[in-house]
Amino acid sequence: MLQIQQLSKTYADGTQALRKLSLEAGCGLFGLLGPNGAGKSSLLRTIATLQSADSGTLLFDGIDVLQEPQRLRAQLGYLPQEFGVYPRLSCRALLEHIAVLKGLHQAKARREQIDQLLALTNLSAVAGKTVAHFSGGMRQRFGIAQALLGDPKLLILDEPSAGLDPQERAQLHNVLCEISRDRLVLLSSHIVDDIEQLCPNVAILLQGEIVLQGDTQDLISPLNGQIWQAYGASVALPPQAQLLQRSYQRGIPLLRVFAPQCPGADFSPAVATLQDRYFLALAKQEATQ
Amino acid sequence: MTLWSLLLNEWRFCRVQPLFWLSVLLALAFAALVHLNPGTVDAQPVKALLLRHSMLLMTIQPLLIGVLAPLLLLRDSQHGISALIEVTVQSRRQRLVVRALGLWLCAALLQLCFVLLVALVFSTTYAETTGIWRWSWQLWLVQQLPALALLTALALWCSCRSQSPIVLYLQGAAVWLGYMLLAAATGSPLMANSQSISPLLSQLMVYLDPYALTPVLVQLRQSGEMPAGLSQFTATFWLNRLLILSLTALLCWRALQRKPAIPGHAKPLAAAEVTPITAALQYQPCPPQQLRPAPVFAALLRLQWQQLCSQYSTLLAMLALCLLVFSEVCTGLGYAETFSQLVPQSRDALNRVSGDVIPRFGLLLVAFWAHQLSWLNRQTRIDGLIAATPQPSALLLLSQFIALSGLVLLLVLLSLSAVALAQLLLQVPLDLAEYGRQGLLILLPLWAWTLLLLACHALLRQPLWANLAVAILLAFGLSPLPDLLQLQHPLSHIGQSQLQLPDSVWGYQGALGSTAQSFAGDFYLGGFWPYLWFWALLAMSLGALALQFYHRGTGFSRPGLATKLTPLTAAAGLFATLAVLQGLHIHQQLDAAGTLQSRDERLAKKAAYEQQYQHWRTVPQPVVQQVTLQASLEPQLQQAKISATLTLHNPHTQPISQLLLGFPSLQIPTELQQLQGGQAATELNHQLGQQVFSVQLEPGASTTLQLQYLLQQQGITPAPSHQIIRPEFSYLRLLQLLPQIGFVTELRLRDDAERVRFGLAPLPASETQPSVLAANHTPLTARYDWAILDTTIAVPIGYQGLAAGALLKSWLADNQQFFHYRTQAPVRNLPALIAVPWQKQSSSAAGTTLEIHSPEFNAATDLTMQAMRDTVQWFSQNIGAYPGDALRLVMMPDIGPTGYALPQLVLINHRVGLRAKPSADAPFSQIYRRAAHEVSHQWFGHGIGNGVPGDSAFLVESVTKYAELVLLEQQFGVAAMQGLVDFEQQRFARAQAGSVAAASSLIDAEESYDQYSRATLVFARLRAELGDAVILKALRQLWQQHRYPLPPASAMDFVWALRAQSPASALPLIDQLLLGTDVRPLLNEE
Repeated sequence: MLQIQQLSKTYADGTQALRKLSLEAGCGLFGLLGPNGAGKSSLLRTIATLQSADSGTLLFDGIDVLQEPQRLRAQLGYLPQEFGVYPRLSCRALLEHIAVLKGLHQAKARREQIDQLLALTNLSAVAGKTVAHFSGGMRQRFGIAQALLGDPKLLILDEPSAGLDPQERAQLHNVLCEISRDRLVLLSSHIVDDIEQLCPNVAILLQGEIVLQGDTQDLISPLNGQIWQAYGASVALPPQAQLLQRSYQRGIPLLRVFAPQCPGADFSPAVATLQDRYFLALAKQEATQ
Repeated sequence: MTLWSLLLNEWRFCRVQPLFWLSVLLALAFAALVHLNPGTVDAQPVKALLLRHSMLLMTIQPLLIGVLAPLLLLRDSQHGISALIEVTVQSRRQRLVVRALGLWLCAALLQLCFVLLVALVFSTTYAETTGIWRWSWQLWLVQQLPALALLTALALWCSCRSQSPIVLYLQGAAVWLGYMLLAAATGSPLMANSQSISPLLSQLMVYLDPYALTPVLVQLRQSGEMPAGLSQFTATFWLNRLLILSLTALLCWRALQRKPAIPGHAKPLAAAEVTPITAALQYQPCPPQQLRPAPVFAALLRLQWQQLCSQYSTLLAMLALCLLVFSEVCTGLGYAETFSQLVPQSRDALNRVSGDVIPRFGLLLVAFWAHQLSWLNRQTRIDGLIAATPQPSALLLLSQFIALSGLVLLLVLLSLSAVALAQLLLQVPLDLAEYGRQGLLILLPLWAWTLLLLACHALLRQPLWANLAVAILLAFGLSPLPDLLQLQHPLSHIGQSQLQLPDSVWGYQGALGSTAQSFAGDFYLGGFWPYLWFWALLAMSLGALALQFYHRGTGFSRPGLATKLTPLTAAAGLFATLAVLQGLHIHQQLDAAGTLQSRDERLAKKAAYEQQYQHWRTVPQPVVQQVTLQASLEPQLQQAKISATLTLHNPHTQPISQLLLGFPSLQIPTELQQLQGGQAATELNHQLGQQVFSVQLEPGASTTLQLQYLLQQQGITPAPSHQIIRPEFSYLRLLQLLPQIGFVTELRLRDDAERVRFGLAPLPASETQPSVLAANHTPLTARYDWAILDTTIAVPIGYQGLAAGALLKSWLADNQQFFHYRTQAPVRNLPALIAVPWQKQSSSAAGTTLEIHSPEFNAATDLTMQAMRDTVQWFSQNIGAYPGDALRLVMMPDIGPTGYALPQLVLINHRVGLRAKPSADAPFSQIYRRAAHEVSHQWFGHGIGNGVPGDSAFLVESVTKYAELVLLEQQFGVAAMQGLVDFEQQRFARAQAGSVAAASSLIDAEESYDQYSRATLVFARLRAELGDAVILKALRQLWQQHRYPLPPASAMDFVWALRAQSPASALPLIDQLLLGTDVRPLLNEE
């Protein structure tokens, strides 16, 4: 569905946000991973037609997005990482407004979908309240609702679970899985667990370039048998082992490393995750610099 | 934590804020442009210093503090960092004090820069610099620092009451505007032509003027000169400073006492308030329909109006505008001039506000709303969501234009409603058609601005750059910046036309041309439609570009420049081409009208004229003996054909072989079609409009000069005051059109600084200062330029053609009415033609026919006729018979002067002469006084008082003030005369206090307040001390010894005549009043 070739974008201050980036994504959930400043939001904004690219091509379902942004917008649902709302406007009124802008002109159908989305995002009870007064999680759910308005074939969700409590997060996962059956959902997140749970396909973006892209399981499985973990603060790290993560579990230091063989007596084998793949990619990137 | 380190912290914050530097640089640039004019040399530098400092304070500081206050005082709440800052060890009071101190220091340091710049310029201009520097410091300390403290305290107090920056912006604007209104209402010299409207207000300002200018002015009015130092300021001045500092302390104390302002929104709704999910739900898509613009457009409009109209700032601004309009109309509608009330109509009510208040205030609001609307999505951070919707950019932008246009319409309607309300309150009948016309003339330019400003915001991706572009446009559209930059071209005033306010004599003909062209939509004629068309085309061109390259409110990036031609870029190109063509058309017409010459260019021409032709002063030249004019005026077509024959006579004892012929404008008039002087010019200087002819003119011989003119006025620019051809009123003074013979000394530059600038030596006092010029006797070179005027005017049937002289014949031919006038004796060579479609009222006095030509006749015209009769009779009895054939007085439209006299013709502005009546408290009638004054010029001005180059206006303007006093007393009693004296005394004291001109004697005076007001006081004193008999004897002697064809009189001739008629004991007083420079004896009588 989505084909990106050699996409580049440099900002006026000289920052190279995208460097000849190429990406392909089909129907379903597609995860985009990367640290802050990697270019995720730049890429999503470019796909969402909010900013132009310096070079490259961007096709969605045969639409040349850079040349015909209007055609893509007609089938786009977009949730930016940060967004605000008009003051003094209720949740329902703002959804109505955006729905009209999205071309939902039949009042009855529009109202029905808004009611349904309010229920889906658990906002029915506060539909008449001013969105500007919503808490962070509620506002995020409003953002998801507005992105789902209409029948978007491409959903771009930048950090959709930010600010959601576990229950809301689970509900969001349900919705996303359901709607991704017949559309492309581009999901950007810092929470690797979310991506791993939801996305059958993933890309890792570092410094404006895709360093890894493919089926999530295919990316993880090569690491099986090479991920080790050890508890304790004084665990020695052998030179052949690549430290992936230094974290805590219930206050006890936990080291997670990548090594072809067991790096030491303190280490035990661990099941490889997408997070391991992500940290390994980061570590390799650091090593090359 | 020391205060110093906290202040340094403020500086670290400020120095990285673009707004801070932008404000400071703009303020400095504005100050440099407006106030630093090295070419000006004031005679009283210390007073000039005080006025310049006060002007800088008044115009810049309230706005600067208004802009910087939110940055310094509201930065925590504005940037959402309050929670972090409030938990630091610094107390709230400490924080507020440091920030307010920082703001005050910023303003004080900037003011110090102004002071240093002004002092530097003054010290390069004046020889005595110690006083300049000393006064600069002292004024900074005692005048400016307390004023800035008060402004800062006010901002601090407001910031503690509201966290909205808009409130601080509005407060800054209110202080800025409020002080200017107060200054205007108390007759401050900072506001041109202002006068005190309430003694109580003036008294209050003495104590509460934050800039302390009023107490200094009061002291100046009493003493006549600046005190030598701070210690000589009166106790009132120091009391004022004390009160201002106390008020500052009170505001600071109140601000610090207040509890922190709570942000305006309610507590965020918590997730706990939300019902948990009870059932699994499924997403049901709703496929969008084909895009239909109408509902989207309606939704966008609804939202934008709702967002703008629900803002307090919008509501406050609308309310403020309505109150301003209402108060302006209510307080000023009946005002014609002091002691004179206007009988108002709807047009007068609308004129109070349609020329400045509504368009200017409205434009500022449009600029504010354009910003709000353009960046609404980005400011509320919803830009990404909206930009990603499938609506075309054109629709988004168009909705902004319609939303804003609707708001502009609302603004104009509300303003006009405020005018109507005031009118109804004053029981003035409403003329709705006039409301419609003026409303349209206000609305259309504002709509063009709306498009222009929205296009700027749509094309520029960063709000800062967009606002800067808008600020530049506004600076060129609203401020005097183009004039300061010496950009004379009317198109340099962005978005402006040459629209003149309509009046009740000729309606809109002043600006829109003839009635037929006024609202018919002729885009090529008049002073409004061509300009509006030009700016609208330019705005449409930018608008089309904006539609193509709109950044959709995100500012991330806009579509790249299209390499191929799109319909929108093609439309932009087409509109731009049409705008250029229209601009060229305007330019050509302006060029043809000769209005594109800058002041410096005119001065340079005069200097060049003097350098190249002054040797002609000694070359004998003929004099004009007779001017024969045949004119055909076609007011409806705004054109005139004039054929002039000048009979030139050689009065000298030697033959004349060369003739220098030039025009007063120092260029050959474009209206001149043909010039025949018998022989071809031997030298032609097109640049200076001079021609030299070879002639053979023996002593006593005459020759003629034939000239043909075709005048065509398209009204692209306001007609010169003395050259008007309009259907309702046509008046041509031919001074600028007819050639002058020989070197004209009046065309020389007189100002010393200007002469030096253009490479000329200063003129000696013997040529410029009347008391020196004629110290012993009037120069023998003085001669009258008088001629017989023979005028035939053809006008359309129904019109009256008027000129100087007796009406010899009037007849109908070729569907035209002809009038033939001829002066029986030579008169001052100032021929003029007038054509009006009105009736006349006639009378006579002392054998002279008196006529008034007016669109209507009422009590005012009766009084005017009485004044004409009284004046002619009084002069005939006391000075000499009327020096002419008939006297015709014509009402004129509101084109500037209130009265103007020509030989045998008088023009009176209908606003003060026809539509006014004395106010209830008037001690005398201004209508009577003005008519008497202008009629008096037939003796003093056009009888004697001309013919001596370099003489002052004493014999013209000052002596006629004596006639006013005598005539008022004779007809209305002593109280009326004393009323005039009191009125002029107040005017003189006020003008003198604000003047930076050098003190001069009344005989040498060049300032109008001396020539009129001081002259009234001097003659009142002379009457009291010497009596009318002595003064009249002197005037009669002057008339008898100097009237044409005897040698002309100078002002000094009057002094000698008065001295000759007075007892020896009165001579010191005469010398003191007429030749002395000390005005304190006159001021102390207040």
